[in-house]
Amino acid sequence: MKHVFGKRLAPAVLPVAASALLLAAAGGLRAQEPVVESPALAVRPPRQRPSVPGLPRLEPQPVPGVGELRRAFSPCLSADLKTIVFANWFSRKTEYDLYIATREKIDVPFGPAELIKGAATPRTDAYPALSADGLELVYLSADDAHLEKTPKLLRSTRPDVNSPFSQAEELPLPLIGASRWRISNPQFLDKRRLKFCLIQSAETRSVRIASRSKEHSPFKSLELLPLENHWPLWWVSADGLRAYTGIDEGICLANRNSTADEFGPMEAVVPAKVVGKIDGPIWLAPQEDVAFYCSPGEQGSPDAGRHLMMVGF
Amino acid sequence: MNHILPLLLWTIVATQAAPGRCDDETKPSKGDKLAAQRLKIMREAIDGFRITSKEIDADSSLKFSARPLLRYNDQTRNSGSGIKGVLDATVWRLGESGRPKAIVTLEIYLVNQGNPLLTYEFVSLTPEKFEMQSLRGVRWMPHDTDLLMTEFDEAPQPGDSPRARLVQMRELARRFAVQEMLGAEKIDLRLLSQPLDRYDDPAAGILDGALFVFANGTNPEVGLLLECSEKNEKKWSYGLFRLAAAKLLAQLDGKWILQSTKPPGWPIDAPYTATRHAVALPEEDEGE
Repeated sequence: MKHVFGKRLAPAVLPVAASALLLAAAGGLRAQEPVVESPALAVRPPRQRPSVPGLPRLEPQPVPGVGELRRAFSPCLSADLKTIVFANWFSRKTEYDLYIATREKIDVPFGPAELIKGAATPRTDAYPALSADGLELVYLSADDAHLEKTPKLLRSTRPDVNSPFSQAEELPLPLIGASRWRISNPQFLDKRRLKFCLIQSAETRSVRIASRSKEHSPFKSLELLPLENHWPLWWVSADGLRAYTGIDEGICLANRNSTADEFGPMEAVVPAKVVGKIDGPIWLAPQEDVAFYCSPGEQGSPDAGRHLMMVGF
Repeated sequence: MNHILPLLLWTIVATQAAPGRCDDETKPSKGDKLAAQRLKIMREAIDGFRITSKEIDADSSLKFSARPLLRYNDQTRNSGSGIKGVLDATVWRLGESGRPKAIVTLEIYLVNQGNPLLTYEFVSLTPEKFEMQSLRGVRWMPHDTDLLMTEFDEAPQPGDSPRARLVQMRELARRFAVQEMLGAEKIDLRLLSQPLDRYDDPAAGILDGALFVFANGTNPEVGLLLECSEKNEKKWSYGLFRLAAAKLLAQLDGKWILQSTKPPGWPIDAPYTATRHAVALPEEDEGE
């Protein structure tokens, strides 16, 4: 099997790739044509249609309507890709705050970004996790720009997409002694499950999933995502079988065959030469064919700006 | 704190760990004497620690248990690097009451050539800093703990009596499946059904607590703390911690809760670390 990016995936790839080879042969494709162009194609769910119609593959573009902002970070969208929430630096007085922008249709730019007043604090607010329906927002708030001093996970909700978010409140997690630890990079897997990174010490961190019995009830259950490497900022698919992250090698994927298994090694699905540097967490469309991320630009220096980008793959 | 259970357990295990009882039960066998001498060596190693802390006030929290919580051996540990197996071992708790501040395991390894080795395995169960040092040059100064206490998602309402809660704790402990990786081999660890220790700490809101272990044979590799808290309402919580350097895996009700890779090194300030030195053991015929 030939991979464009050349590394080995977990065994789940093999039967899919074999099927793809058979289909390719049946369809009369030329033998030299690569059957599996990206490892992600072999393990992610089949797409009904492209999440962003017309978005070329492996060509990063600014997120329309908000990609021009120079200090935007940690994008997160609703499942229909019509609402985006991200951290944006507006003034040194309040550091990063959360902003929201919406659009009526998928093929038009987002409207102007607005401060989410219910989530605004004098602290640094970033790493938003927006529920698929866009009605629940969980994010990280801390006393310092690096989100290390007394970080808290806050939660805000709204009854419908046209209403403002409520005043944020601290989100309790089923951890005893949690105030001693840092929590980072939350992400809703679905209405009942919230993934986050637990940083216990400089040496110990783990990606965890908190669960609740129903929407808006307290999180009670806590499990571990058995990744090979817990240090990157992972985005996890709703079925818990695939995890993506943006690191120096590009956008990388790790996968497993079932939730009883551990994850295999990660490998690039969008190489660094295509995507450039990535700053902070990434967010993927539910079909896992478009990644949204923050790019610090070629130089990688904060002065170069932090722009919200997207890339199809 | 219930002191009877660990004493009884220690007596049973210590008796089983001492090989070679003679026919005359009133007269100690050679094996008994050697086992007693090995225990003396390990006790002296424990008693030789000077323990200080700027963050832990109570002196009793910085004292080891009077007796080991567990005594075992493990002849299967042939590492291929001259190690012939664990001849004798003991598990000690730091802190005379409440949740242990730390667990220290001492193991006497026989080697093919050279002196036997006394290994020290340390695991901190408190975020508070303390330091311990022995005249043998063994030093450990943990700055934190990896112990993560988590509420059970589904658990019975804690019983009203210690006996009822022990029954519940055994049932809760059986919901865990724990494995260790030795090389490429994945080994299912078995739950020792008797808790090694039982404790409470009203000041910390712990109504009842127990220390269980998951073992490879009799060698404990993973510790499990089960606690019933009584702050607002009675709740069960759990925390797993390593007692082995191997990669460890654990699931609760089929959900992943622990995936601990091998430690990258043995720093003296790590929550889990180990060290060792040579030790002189009594000769086989010395006891005659």
